[in-house]
Amino acid sequence: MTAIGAAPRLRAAARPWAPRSQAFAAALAVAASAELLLVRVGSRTAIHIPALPALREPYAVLTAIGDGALLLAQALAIVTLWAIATEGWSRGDRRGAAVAALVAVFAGTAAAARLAWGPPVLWQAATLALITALAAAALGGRATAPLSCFAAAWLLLGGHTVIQGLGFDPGRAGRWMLWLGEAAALALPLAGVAAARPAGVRAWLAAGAAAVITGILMSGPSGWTLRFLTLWNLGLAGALPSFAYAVAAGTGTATLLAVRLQAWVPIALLVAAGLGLHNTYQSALAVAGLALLVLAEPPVGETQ
Amino acid sequence: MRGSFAAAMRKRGWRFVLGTAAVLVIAGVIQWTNVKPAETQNLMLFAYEADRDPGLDPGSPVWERAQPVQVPLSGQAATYAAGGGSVPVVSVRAVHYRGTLYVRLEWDDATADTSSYRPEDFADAAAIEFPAQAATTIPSFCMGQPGAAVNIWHWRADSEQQLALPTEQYPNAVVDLYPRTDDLFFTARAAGNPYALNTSPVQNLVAQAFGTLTPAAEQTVRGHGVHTAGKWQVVFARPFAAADPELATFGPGTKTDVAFAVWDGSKDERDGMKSVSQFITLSISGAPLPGGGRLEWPWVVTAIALFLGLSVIGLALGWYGYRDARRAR
Repeated sequence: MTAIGAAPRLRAAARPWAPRSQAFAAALAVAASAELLLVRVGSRTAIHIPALPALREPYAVLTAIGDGALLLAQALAIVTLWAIATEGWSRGDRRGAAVAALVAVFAGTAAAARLAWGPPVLWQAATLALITALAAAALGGRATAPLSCFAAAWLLLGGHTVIQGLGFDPGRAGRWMLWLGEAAALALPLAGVAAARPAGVRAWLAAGAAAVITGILMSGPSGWTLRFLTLWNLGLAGALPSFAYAVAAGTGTATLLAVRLQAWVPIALLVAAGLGLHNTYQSALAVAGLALLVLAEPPVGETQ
Repeated sequence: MRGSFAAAMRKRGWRFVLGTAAVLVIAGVIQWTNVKPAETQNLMLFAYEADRDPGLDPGSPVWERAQPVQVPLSGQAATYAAGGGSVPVVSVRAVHYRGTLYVRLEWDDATADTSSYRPEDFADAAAIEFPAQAATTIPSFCMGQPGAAVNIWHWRADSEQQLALPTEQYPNAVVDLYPRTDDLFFTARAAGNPYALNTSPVQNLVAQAFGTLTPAAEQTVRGHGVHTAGKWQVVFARPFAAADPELATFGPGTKTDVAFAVWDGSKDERDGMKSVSQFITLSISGAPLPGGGRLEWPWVVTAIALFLGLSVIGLALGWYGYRDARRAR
């Protein structure tokens, strides 16, 4: 390889994901993760702690911080999507332009849903298609298998909602959609570990510890609490055997330890988004995370 | 310090400054106007206005025209006694007629457990939960929370039945007749215990956290359940308006949250051992219940076209990326 030929490749290697959106996306990932932990998990479970009257002040402080994180995350989601769209558009390649267009369409569907224009199922279907389209657009690299699992889980769980919104009774097929969606979600970290190929004893020790702890928790009385939290926050009913969740927790931990630090922002956004249709804020997190993964691929001219 | 700030400004550029300002302005607008930019996208249960009274009959033809929604259920997890989860899904329909909301639940259950006479018997049951009208935020679906109460309609299969004589359950028992029938000697009845009064198979309850579940002052919820062909079908009905701020209120053109719970007595489910759902959205429409088919084909076709169109863009992009990756190798 000549020095002239190596230059674009080096430039591409040094390129972080979506450099112009980087600061806002990172801030959104932090705010959304804080909101997930403090509002969706913390405040909803802490209210059931028997000794809560004694802990009322710390609980109030944490709830206030969580509410602030939610407020900030909503504002950041709007600005981050704008930054991602302008960045995609200004890249000058088809992939960037398509990301900009898909993000713009999502903004339109979220606004239409909020303003109650037309039946809600129209915007649910559009959101579901946008998210699977963005997941498909990010295919081609090493993350193809986990992204396929993510898209399949979204399609099955979100499709269960959309089909009913259209007026169809999914019947027994609906239950299969939920179970298969759950299976695809659990296969996601398994595919992730195959793609990330974690090396080193430390990653596998952490993975083993996570799997054992999850397995013990899921099998014991607190397993119901975990299922409750996965249903509420991720849209998973916890209907499969505990063993499957333990494996997913272990492989998920190993994957997270193996990916580059830069990948943590889109991963955090996708985790905070959950699976399936919940609300336009969580859908926006999924759109932002997937758009960042698409933009992480450099423009065509820089790869050749 | 000033130099490093200037360097950071040069490095980040005006986009960063404008973006940060935009975040602060948007957050400020959301905070001060209390207008939430996000909209729910989960399951929607629509209640249209029926042209005739469905009554409490789960077999009323009105229900055939109401669109069902299948709500996923999971085991109850948040507190002891935790468990349940034997019923994976409940099918729900809703209509309204002359200011009364009707909700019909249907779920698979091979056995009709209608007695809780013996200590080892538990009755089948179902419940619907709404946020109280006075709730300042969406309450926890687990019995609500302080400042955000929930209103629960609880139907029990054993409340549909007249109390059986002890000799029906224990044929060899000898039971003396009680000499008095006035309330003074039936303490639960005298205290106004709704279960002892048994005026309706549905209890109207309110709660603000675990351990606070109590009968509401107004017992205005009616209901009736029928077990047929391995399924329970239970209808709940209540007028839209309620004076008590701890109760839910309804009206055409309004939305509220609603969650469901089901107990299977033959699986020893009782108390907190039940199958529960998350909140879904109940939308009460002022429009009449569609007459014939349930599908609104123009919207179905539009939604499918939108879905397919956007999916094609994604597939094309995926193919483009795949081809690009192959070329790069």
